Amino acid sequence: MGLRWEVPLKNLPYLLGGALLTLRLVGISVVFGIFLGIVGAMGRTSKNKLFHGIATAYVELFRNTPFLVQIYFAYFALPTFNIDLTPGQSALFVMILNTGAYMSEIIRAGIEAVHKSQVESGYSLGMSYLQVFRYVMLPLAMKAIAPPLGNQIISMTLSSCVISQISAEDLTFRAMMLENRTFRSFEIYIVTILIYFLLAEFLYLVIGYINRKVFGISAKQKLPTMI
Amino acid sequence: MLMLDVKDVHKHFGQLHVLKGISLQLERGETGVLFGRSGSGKSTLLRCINYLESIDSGEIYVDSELVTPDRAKLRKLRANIGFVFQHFNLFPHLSILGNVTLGLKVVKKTPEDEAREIALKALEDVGLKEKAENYPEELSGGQQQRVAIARSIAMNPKMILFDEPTSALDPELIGEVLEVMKDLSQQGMTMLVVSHEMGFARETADKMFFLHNGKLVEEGPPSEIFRKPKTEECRRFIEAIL
Repeated sequence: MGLRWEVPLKNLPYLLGGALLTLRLVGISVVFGIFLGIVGAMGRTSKNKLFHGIATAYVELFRNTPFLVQIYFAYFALPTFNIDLTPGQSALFVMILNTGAYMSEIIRAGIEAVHKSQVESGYSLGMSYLQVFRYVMLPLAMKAIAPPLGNQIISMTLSSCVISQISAEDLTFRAMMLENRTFRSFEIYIVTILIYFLLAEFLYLVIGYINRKVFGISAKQKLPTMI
Repeated sequence: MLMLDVKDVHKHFGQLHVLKGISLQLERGETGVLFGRSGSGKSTLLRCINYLESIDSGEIYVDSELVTPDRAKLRKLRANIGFVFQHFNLFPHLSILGNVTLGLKVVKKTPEDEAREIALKALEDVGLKEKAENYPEELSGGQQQRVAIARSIAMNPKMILFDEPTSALDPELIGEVLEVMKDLSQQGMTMLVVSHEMGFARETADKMFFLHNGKLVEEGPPSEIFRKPKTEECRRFIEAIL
């Protein structure tokens, strides 16, 4: 069997263009997802019943239904209410909401792990709940949850390939298109897998850098010594 | 002039009646020492004063202001009352300077430069100016507690409450913290201290309060409390810890 590597290589810019869309969608979803996650986590830890209820409903809904069906809903079902989104918009909309829900739970766990004594310290200085949340709970929680948060971002990047199902032109979609035209499945998917792999590795590097610079993780944090 | 006026305060934790009608007073500039067996309600009373715990009945006035659950009033009250915890409770993610300036910047809206200046002065008062850029985990327990005191001083409080400030410290570190507290007391800070450091109480306290089973059973200046305690419980307790 003659492999024709020139097919994916010649079309590399086309495939990388798809990867770039993936990366852009991930970038935007992370920014808005973290913001949603913070609000969601505040709701999940709030004593206000309404706020708590809304946040819980949101988080449970998005975590307990398939990502693909959520995408289908945004793209195929919303037009029923005259909400017409392009494939890219639908994908972005659902990716933000979906990742926001997962981040809510991760951030909530971080907030609950913050020791009550530090929170009391903030209150005893005269801070409001929002100030304690912003200056004490959130930074401490973020530091504790930076690793799982990073994993969530990688996981979202990889599972974002399902947006190809509504013809959003991400890497997977373009690989499928190329395959339909050329029938060089093996070569094309090997290269596609390699691009996803490099994309994930690149994100690990970026996240690791942020963790070190912003949260001081691994640089200053003392790890338990093993004897 | 009265700085602290606690009137007939009751507090329950579920079925447990922890404070059974406590009344006590501190004049401006006075240092009071609260002591008694563990479980007698000392820490709870202290925490009620800045409403870290709610009370079931009674009234507490700090500088003639009623302590209420009203959030805005409570924030103002707490900004005026320093609280030093048994386990220091510094913010581990902030430098020493960051710990001392946070309240100034966030609560009092002090500009950065000014906050820094005030914080460095407070750190100087507790002898830790050179540690400003360090992090809490790099300091000994005694140093951390002194930073916690500096964090309170920086807010320029009317009164500072100390909840067993030295009981989590190694014996050799207790002295440096008590020294700082003694200085504060001599400078005229109003202080209420939960402590069993009887040496400190004898030298520094204007009044001592002995709590037993949620009741204030005896109060007076150290000279009286140490020499001729009126109640059997107080006498026995002092004998046991001296």
